[in-house]
Amino acid sequence: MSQNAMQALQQRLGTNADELAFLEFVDDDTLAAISEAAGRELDARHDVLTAAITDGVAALPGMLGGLARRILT
Amino acid sequence: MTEQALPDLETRAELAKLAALLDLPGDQLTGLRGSGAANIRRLRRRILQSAFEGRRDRFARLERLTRLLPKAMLARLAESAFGPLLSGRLVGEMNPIRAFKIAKRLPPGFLADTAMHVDPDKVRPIIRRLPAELIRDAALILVERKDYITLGRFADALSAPAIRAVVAAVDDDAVLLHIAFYMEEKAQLSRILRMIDNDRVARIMRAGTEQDLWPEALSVIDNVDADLRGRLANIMAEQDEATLNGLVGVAHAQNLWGPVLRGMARMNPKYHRKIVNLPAVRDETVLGDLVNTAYRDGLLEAALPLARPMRREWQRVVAHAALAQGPEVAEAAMWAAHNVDQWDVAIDLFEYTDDGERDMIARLPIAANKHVLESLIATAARTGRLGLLLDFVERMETAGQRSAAEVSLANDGDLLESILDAARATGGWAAVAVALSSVEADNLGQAGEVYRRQSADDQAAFQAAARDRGVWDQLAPALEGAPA
Repeated sequence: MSQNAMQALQQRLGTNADELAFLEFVDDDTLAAISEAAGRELDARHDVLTAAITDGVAALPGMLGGLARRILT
Repeated sequence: MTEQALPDLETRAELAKLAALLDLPGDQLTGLRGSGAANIRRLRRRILQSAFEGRRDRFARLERLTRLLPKAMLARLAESAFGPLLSGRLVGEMNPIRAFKIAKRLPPGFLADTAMHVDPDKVRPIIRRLPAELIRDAALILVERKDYITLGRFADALSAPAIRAVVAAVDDDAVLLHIAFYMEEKAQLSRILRMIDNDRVARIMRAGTEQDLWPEALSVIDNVDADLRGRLANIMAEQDEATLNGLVGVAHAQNLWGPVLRGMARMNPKYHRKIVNLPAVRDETVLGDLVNTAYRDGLLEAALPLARPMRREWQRVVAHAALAQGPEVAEAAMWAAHNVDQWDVAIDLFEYTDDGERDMIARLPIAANKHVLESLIATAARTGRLGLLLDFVERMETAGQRSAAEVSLANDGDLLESILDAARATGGWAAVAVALSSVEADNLGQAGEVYRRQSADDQAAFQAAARDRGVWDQLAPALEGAPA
């Protein structure tokens, strides 16, 4: 369990085992809570950012909006 | 789950920041309490970094596009189209000078909203350049929202005028303590506090004592340089007895003796008497906790002198409390006494120990160290406590007794003369006899000269004690032999 949660967290954060090695000594419940919350937070930020991009691009005038849309989406 | 001790203040601040970032209740992170502030901080920053890395290449390209736009137009678009989130991401890709020129055109409310969406490392150079009034107004909005963590994230990046403007505008001193507690780079606290006038600093620190914010106030004291730490600790020490009693309770309950001891080590010693004699201190559990923390945090050298101004009955409690922590702590306390030349305090405390405790101390490895004994015996002689020392020596292992005897024979046996005076006064002849018997006979010449200068009554008393311990036959040739 802890190994899975740890690997999931490391993968999600794009880090290696050494950088967050201290997590090996953290109990399973805490590790699972962190892993889940970090994933949730990053997903939420991704979603919010996607929505913000959609709204932002739509609010930009004319050609600038078109260019921004092409870059961001 | 077993109850865990509260972690140190920096770990607490980091746990709160991580909990806020992950939107988790603090109790779900108790498993990180022992991980240390630096590790938790690394985890938090890694999560933030991941968040800011998402689609970063695209924002970098968008930023290149925005370079074609006039700054005034970009500022308008930031508000009307991009919004705080996209603006926060864009600003992270921008040249700081250009970002500053745009940011200074934005209203404080927008900056406050954007503060939550920017990579702190990227915007520090921008924040430092922003007008003090703009920073102040944005900060007041975040204060209104009680977003102390965001405020703390940028506090150390502010310019001196901005810091003065914010401090002048924030009337609630407790708010400033909260911000300081969550500050990202606490090494900057000294610089910041020196920008604030003394009266206000004193008011801020007093807020800690009056509004149950001891941890926040202690965190400030613990993170400033030594000189400032002394000044701030003095402000705290000037509080009345009831308030300081409250501090003792909080320090005990919240594992805060480390910052308290570090603060006391730097405060004016005139306050020590007041603090160490507080009613709440006279508790064996409290003092045991304090001693353990001092041992764990390497603060015994700072803690030991605090026993000097204690009332005798308090000293008695601290002696028992310290020794109840076991031989390892006792050995460390003895070394602390030696390192900071506080043997007189250690001897004061030794006076209150019982037989079992004295036996334990006398058999510690340090009790056989000749350099240590030189210092200890010299202090005992200087302070008229050689009688107590004899009791200590009598309980030692042979190696310690030999070292003590050798020390007493140095300097033409002057010290041995004093020790025999003490033996006469306390009836401690046996300790002297046993200690001398552990020395090679060839090295007892000096002892013989001193012995033969003693009165007949004293020689008889010494002999009787030596015979009683079965060492007279061994000592007699060296002590009774004809002078050279």
